[in-house]
Amino acid sequence: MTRSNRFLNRLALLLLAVIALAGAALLLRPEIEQYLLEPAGLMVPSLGLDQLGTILPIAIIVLAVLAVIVALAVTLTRGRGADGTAIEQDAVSVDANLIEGILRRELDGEGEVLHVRLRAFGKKGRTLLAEVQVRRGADLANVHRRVSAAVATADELLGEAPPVVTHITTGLRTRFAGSTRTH
Amino acid sequence: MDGTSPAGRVSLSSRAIERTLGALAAEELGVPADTSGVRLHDAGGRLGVAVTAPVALGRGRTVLAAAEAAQRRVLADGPTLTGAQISTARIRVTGLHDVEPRRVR
Amino acid sequence: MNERMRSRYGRRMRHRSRSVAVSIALWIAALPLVYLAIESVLELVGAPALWQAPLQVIETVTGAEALRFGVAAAAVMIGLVLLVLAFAPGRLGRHELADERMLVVVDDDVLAGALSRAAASTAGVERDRASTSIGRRKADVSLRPTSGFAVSREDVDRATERELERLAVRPAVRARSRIEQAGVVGR
Repeated sequence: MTRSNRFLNRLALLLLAVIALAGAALLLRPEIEQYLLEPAGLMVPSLGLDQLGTILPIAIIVLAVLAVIVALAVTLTRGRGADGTAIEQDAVSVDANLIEGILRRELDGEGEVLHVRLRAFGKKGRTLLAEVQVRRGADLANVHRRVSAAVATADELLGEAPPVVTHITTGLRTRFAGSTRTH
Repeated sequence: MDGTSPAGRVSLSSRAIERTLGALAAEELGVPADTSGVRLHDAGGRLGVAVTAPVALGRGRTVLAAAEAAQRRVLADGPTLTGAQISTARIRVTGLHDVEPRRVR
Repeated sequence: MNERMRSRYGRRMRHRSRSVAVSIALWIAALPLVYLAIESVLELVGAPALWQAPLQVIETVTGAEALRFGVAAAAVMIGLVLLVLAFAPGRLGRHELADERMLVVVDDDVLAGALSRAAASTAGVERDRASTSIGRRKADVSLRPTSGFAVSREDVDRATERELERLAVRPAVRARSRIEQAGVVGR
């Protein structure tokens, strides 16, 4: 789970789509003029790329530098979502390992649970993300009950009940919504 | 080791301070001294202490309560033992020390 | 975990993040610009071009019909893909289970497995004879009976509905079952 703003992501994709389509339109200008605009009685002023002459190289360089800065910034700040600090307070912090260890111990011997992994995300006030990998065809209600009991034990040992997101998975890559046929 | 030696100031090596504070925190956390790690840094001319250690639970004590107790202990007893002025102490708990299964219901 | 956090994280867990797509798209947009910028710098300092001077590159691309249409087609494709990514819901095959203490999100294949399990055990057949496909709001369970032993569809429906109720799946899923015509001869 990432922290990046999802509305901004949509906006960025939309903006890039518009740029790509505008670029295509620029390349297809003769055809667009001939088949779409002239029949409609519209005229398009010349862009005058030729007159740009000496400004063009500098404009390209500036644009390229801006594009690389934006791309680098987005790539580097992306997906910094989860890490290994489960609780972060002024004077004390608790590793996710500790809580993962408690959950593992509590779910050990539960044949249907194959693996437990715990990480945490969030800037102020951490939220725990527990990934519980189960066997195919596991008794889901039972797994849910066991995980709840394990989390309750962790709360008691910690002395605090941090927000928890539990993700129950078979470990296969989650498909997009749609039909999933499973035995 | 006597912090108020009449001969003047006793200065401990930073390694010795680390070991002392680590042992102090470890004792409060109920774990062997060699399981703790200590990093010292400057905090505006005074000493900042960051301890990393597991915790052993028992007597109904919680992880957070034990960590907070260890932090208070380092702040309270650290200066007397080492002669250093300590301004901040942080405890990072890495895991549970007791390995035998415990059930809390 | 309060209600606001719960619904926010629930939404996040059930939808794919677009951040990877944004990163890739930004680099795709940046690379041709970087190439042109390198040619521009070479031209400004009077060094020989890697391929052609920037204005000539533009002229070459717009000059040759095939190249022009090719590049335009690629740009249209990229633009359309980005539009779809921007507007499609990007929903993942996951559901939530009701829980007071925490948010529980479960992959649809796990949920489908649980329904198959309930159906098969009610019908008294091996687990692998039931299969379930799950959409956002409905589940289709199909079952191959043992030859000579009829299975009541109502019983299977009841069992899967009971399982869904027990799990309190959100968004709510309705299960429908189908007993296949052809059975399997039992051992």
